[in-house]
Formats: sequence, C-alpha cells, structure tokens
Amino acid sequence: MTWRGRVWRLLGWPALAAGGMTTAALGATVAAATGDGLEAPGSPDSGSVLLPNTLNATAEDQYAAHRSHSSHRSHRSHRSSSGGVRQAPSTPAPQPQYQSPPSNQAPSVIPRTTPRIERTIPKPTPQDVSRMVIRVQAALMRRGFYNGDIDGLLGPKTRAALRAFQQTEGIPQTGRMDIATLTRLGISIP
Amino acid sequence: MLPLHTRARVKGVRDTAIVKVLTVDEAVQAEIDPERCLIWLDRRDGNDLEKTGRPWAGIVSAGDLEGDLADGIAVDRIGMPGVVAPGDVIRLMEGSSRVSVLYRRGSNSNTMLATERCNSFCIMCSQPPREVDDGWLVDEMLETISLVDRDEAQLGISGGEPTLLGDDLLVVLDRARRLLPNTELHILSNGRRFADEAFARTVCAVRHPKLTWGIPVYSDCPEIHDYVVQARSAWDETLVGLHNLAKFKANIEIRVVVQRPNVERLGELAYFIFRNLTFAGHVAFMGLEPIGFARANYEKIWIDPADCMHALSDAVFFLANRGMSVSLYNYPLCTVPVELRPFSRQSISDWKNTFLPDCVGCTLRDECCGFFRSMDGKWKSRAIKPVTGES
Repeated sequence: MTWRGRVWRLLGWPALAAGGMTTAALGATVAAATGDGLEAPGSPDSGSVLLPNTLNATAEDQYAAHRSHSSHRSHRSHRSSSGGVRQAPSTPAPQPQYQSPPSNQAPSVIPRTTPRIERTIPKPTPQDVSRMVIRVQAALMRRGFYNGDIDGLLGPKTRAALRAFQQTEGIPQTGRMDIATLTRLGISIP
Repeated sequence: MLPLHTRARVKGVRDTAIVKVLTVDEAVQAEIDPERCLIWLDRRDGNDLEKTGRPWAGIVSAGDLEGDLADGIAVDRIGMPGVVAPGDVIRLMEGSSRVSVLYRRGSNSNTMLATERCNSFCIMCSQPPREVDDGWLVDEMLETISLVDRDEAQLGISGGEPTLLGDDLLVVLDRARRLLPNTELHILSNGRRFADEAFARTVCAVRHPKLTWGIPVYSDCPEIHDYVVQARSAWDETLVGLHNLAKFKANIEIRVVVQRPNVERLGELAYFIFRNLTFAGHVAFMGLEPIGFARANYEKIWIDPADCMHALSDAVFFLANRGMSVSLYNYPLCTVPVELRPFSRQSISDWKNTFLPDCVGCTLRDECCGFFRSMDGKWKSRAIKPVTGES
C-alpha cells in the first residue's frame, strides 16, 4: 500500500473523496495530510456519496436585493432565521455608490482594494450587479428559461425567467438573485 | 512603428493603475472620473492643475518633473517619447518603471488581450499561448473599454482564445455595447467553443451592434486544418461553430493564413467557403507573421509569397467573382500581381510595421502594408523590389 493509500485508510473516507468534492474542512485536512490534491486510490466508482452543494455556503445574500429600477413597491422584510445571512433591506435598495477614495490618498483605480471594515460586506457596485445579472441571464438561457437579450439588466423578462426556474427547482419564487437560486444555477458569489 | 511599452520614472502608484492620459483642457470637459485621468503636462505648470480643483489621478510629462508631488501619480522621463500621448490609456504598476499602452488614440490597431490561454496550438502562431491564470485581464479590458475614446472607429480583442473567458466574455461584450456602441469590435477566435450552440446563443444574445468574429479556416480538408492548429477535431468544431454563429446572425470574417501546408488546396478552400460558408461577410487571405511559433516552425510553414500568387489569384477571384468580399493581408504590393493589388489592404498594425531599404524609390509605398518588424532575411520574398512606373 502506498503512503497515500495509508493516509486514505486512516481517514476512512475514500468514497467521499472519489466524488472529487468535499467540504472545505475535509479538503484542508486531506491536503494537509497528503500534501497533495484530492486523489483517491482504489476504484472510484464504488459506493459514491451524494454530497451537499457547498457552492456559496459561506456567501452573503448581497445580490438578492437588486430589482429592476422600475419596480419600487416596498419589499417584504426577509428576516432570516439562519444566522449570519444578511437580510434584504426592507426599503427599495438605494443605487450603490461608487466609493471614491479620499483625495489625500494615492488614488486606487480598482475600488476592491480599499481596506474592508470587519463584518461589513462591501456593497456590490453597479458594475458588479450587472456582471452578476449577465451570468444569471446566461445560465438561465443555457437551461432554456430565458430567451431575451443578455444585457445585464434585471428586467421583467429576467425576473420571470428566475421565477420559472425557481418553480422548477421547488424553491421560493422570489424572482431575485438570492443565494439558493444562484447556487442552483451554478453561480458562485465573488 | 511606435512600440506599446516604454520605461519612465513612475511614482505614486499603488497596486495597478489603469488611467487615461489627457490634457487639462480635455480632462475638464471629459466625462471621465477625474481619478482615472492622468494630466498631460508639456512642462510643470501646477497652477492650471490646481485651478481645476479636481482630484486628478496625477500628472505625466515627457520631460522632467521637478520636485515632489504631494500626492497622486507622477510619470516623467519617458524613455521613448511619443509612446505615451494625450488620449491614450496606460497601465502603471507599483514598483515598476514600465508604462504599457493599452489604447492609443489614432492607432489603426488597438487590440485588447483577452487571455494568453488557448485551446489550439497553431504551428504558425504569432502569439504562443501560455497556460496561466490571467483572469485579471478581464478587469483590465473592462477598465480599458470605459476609457477608450467614445468616437473610436475600431477596437480589437485577441488572445489566446477569447472564448475561453466563457461568461466573462459576455460581460466584456456588454460593456463595449453600452459604452462604445459606435465602435466596431473585432474579435479573433478559433470559433471552436461555438460548437456549443448554447454558448453561441448567449454570446449573440448580447446584441453588440458592430461585432465581427474573425475565425480561421485553413483548409477544406480537416486533416490539414487540424495539423495547422495542432488539435484533433478542431476543424469539425470550428465548422459547427461557424454555422451556430451564422444561425444567430453574427458577422463573420474567415481568415486564411497562407502557408506551406495549405497553399496547394487554396482553390478548393475557396470553393468550400463559397459553398458552405457563404454567410461570411469577408474572407481574408493572409501572409505569415514571422514571430512566435512561426519562427520555430520555419521549415514546415515557409513558402515564398511569390510562389503563392498563382493559387491566391485563383482563390481570390473565385470568391470575388461570386460576390464575396475578399482581401489580401500582409503581402507587400511588390509581391502581389497587378490584378490582385486592388484586394490588398494595409493590414499590418502600425506598432509592428516597417519598410525596408529596398523600398526606397517605390511608388506604391503609401498604399503598401509594408513588412512586419520581425521579418529577417529568410522570411523575405525574392519578389521584393521597389515598384516604379508600370510594374
């Protein structure tokens, strides 16, 4: 038995690793133990395990609030019981502002480099939102839910496509880019 | 023949800065975030700058800036004057003296690099691919697009293989559509990823109003094409890709780099294009660029343009006679027979273009594409001579 095989037996999870996916914690353990990537010995097909979708597991719901600008009726408050997830604002989301660095600093062209204050999620810029909408539109189009223009605007057609997709997936039909929807579309939150 | 990079004394840059160089007068009127403008000064004249009262990113001077700027970026002692000028978009990096021009006002060949990765490995590739993580180039393209002159006529995207960006390419196309709706966008791609109909659909759904895809087909014969691009099934994928693009009404240019492996069947290729790719808006037959893999594969690809002209003439007239738009790129006019010269274009980018001592006295110089700067003796056609009077 190879040294790597021994490690795998010690850990006792060959089938889990055969799926090529694992939780970050396990991945870290294994990577630390083997000093290598996730490569399981033995037959990879034996006893596969269905893994939870961990995409966006640690993400914050920062794209759910963005609706088309034409829709200004007030939102219901989405008080979330699952701690840590930021709730959507209960008033129409204000247009995110481009955060300019103070003028006495050397200017930075890339706003993301501005230091983050702890526990504060940087608000997506309009460009970030439009980028996310484009990915959502493309993902919906690939799945046959959307046939409009890919324009980065969260308009009625895109929201209808989101709802149709959400219905098919059996998740709440919010018409929004919430974490559950993004995850099922295979889109990770940056 | 102005290079795209130079050295300079660069101060005050944090991380990476992509900024537009503008004169004070233009900067005041431009609808650009002042913090993304670098003010061009012929000589130190801080007063004008102070009076505007705006938080400019900094200043740039061809000469020597005396003293220290309190804050912001300062670029001076530019190694090669002329490389940086008002209107240009440049990249500066912390701790580096390198100034890279990402967009040059007035250039005929502004091209953004999408990625260095590629899924083909063409034997005559002038820009050999590298397997690197260069996702930052997407942000650089987005930054550049937002700083390009709004009345720019044409902008290119090249690589590497731009379609490897996947959905990020949609983001770039959408940004160009929004900010530069009047700028022709020309993208060089091998078209293989468009064999995925869903991907072709999403790309075309961006509806960029002035987008053309330049896609190579090297032969009517799949084996020859796959040999040239060094990838099995590439011909199949490109052909399916071309038809998917056509289905979604994309503008397509077919690009044929003429070289030893495919010159024999150029006539058949022209027939194939007319029969099967009639939707192409333009067909370009192109001479080799002697750089990158082309240099390493000289023996396999080189054929004197003088020995290609018979085949080229057949192919060009076959298509032109049937109403297709055809061009010759990269062939100096002296190597091209008189009857084919109307198809020749000044195709070589200004920053890599040059003329030879042989060109002295040539009457066609002003209409000629000239030569790649990378050309040397063994890439020189025997047909090169100054054209005077009748020939």
